[in-house]
Amino acid sequence: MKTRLVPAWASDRILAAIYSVDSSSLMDWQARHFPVDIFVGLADRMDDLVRSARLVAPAMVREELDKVGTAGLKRWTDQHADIFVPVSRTA
Amino acid sequence: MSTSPSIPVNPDVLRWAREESGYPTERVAVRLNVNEERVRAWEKGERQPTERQLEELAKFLRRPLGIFFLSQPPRLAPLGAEYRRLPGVTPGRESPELRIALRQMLTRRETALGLMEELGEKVEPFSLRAHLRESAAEVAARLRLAMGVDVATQLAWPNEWRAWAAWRSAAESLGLFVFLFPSVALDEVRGLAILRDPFPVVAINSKEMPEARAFTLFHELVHVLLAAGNEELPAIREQRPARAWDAVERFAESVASYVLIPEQALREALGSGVVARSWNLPEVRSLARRFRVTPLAMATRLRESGHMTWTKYSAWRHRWDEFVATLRPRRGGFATPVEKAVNRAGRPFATLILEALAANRITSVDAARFLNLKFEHFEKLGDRLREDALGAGLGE
Repeated sequence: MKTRLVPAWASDRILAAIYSVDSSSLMDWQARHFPVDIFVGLADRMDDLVRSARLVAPAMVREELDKVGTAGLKRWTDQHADIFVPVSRTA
Repeated sequence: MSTSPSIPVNPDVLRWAREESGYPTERVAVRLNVNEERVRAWEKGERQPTERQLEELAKFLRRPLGIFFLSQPPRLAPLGAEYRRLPGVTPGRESPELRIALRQMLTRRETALGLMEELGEKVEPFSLRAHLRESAAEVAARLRLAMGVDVATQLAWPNEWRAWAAWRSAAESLGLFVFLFPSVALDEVRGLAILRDPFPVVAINSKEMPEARAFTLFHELVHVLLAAGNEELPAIREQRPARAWDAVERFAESVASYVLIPEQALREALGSGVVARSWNLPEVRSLARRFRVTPLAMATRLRESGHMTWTKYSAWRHRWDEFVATLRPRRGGFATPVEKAVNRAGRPFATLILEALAANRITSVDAARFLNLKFEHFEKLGDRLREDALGAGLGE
């Protein structure tokens, strides 16, 4: 018998959720715990979130990642520049 | 011209942030590419900066953007309450570069103490003391004993870089931080001490050449010891007249020179022909190289112990200054990002950050920010620190 991990009402909310992430989330994902060349499925799911405009981050996150991040993460942020929004829009 | 929207901020906070960083309105105007009148209008509340301008201002003043949204300026202790009295520096009138450096080092120390507590490390009070009534040789001998550096080890160091690294490590073992600070003119400050307990800070201007760094390190360390012995106060409270303060400075210099060149070791190096020496430049340079100190420090030391008369010292000093004036400006060597980070913050701090990261007490972004090092270099940083620890364990 197939069991649901989350109830239907919660599932709908999750599908509608927009994730606003900070620098650490992106760093821990790519540079520390789940490198994109190994955890390919996770990277695809993140790309899905970006495509459906459900992943955003303040523009300053991009600047911070440029300063402290890895070359791979810099490439990823360059390819997904649309997720970064000015502080005034996030406020 | 910026088209981003204006942001309502408290003008008092804007003025505080600028003044606290030591910048006049003119410097802010130039950096933000606006008229100086515009900056003044922001600080009077007559106009508001745009979001872009506020972000640029935060970067320029090295403050988090959020600080501009405080309802009133924060109350911070003046920087002059933190560092020792410095020749030529008036508390509250430090250069912006020095103020930034001080703030960064104070934050680094606070970060370290917080992490040490979180990681369950025991933090002991700083226990070494010095008193002006003691002889310089006595204080120096106590310091060398505490650091565990014998003369044979010192004379075996192959170059000035190894000597500096070893002295730094020995000083750090006493329970203090040794930091390097960049971007401050040597004319303003060569070194400074932050008189806190536990873990006081001794800081060296990174422009200082390696053989001079050790002298500055011990000079500053003596000020820490004197403060611990209630012999001196932080800059803002130190009220001695100039002449009395000069005596304190001379004591610190003298102890530093005795630490680097103990009397017995100097006598042995000189052998029996002390009086016959002419003390020309090559002779003093050769002797200085042996101890990995600057020729000037060696000449001062020879004078202190009476091996060189004041007359000979003055003549030597004159010739030395003339010689130095003919030298080309020294070019900085190449350092990798990891080396720069470790040089700046020191091995104990870098190690602590890696431990805190491994224990999930800080994020990777925190770690990179604390060390001012991109996260992609952290693997090399770990390798470097392990190699250093292994080298120290093998007695290198």
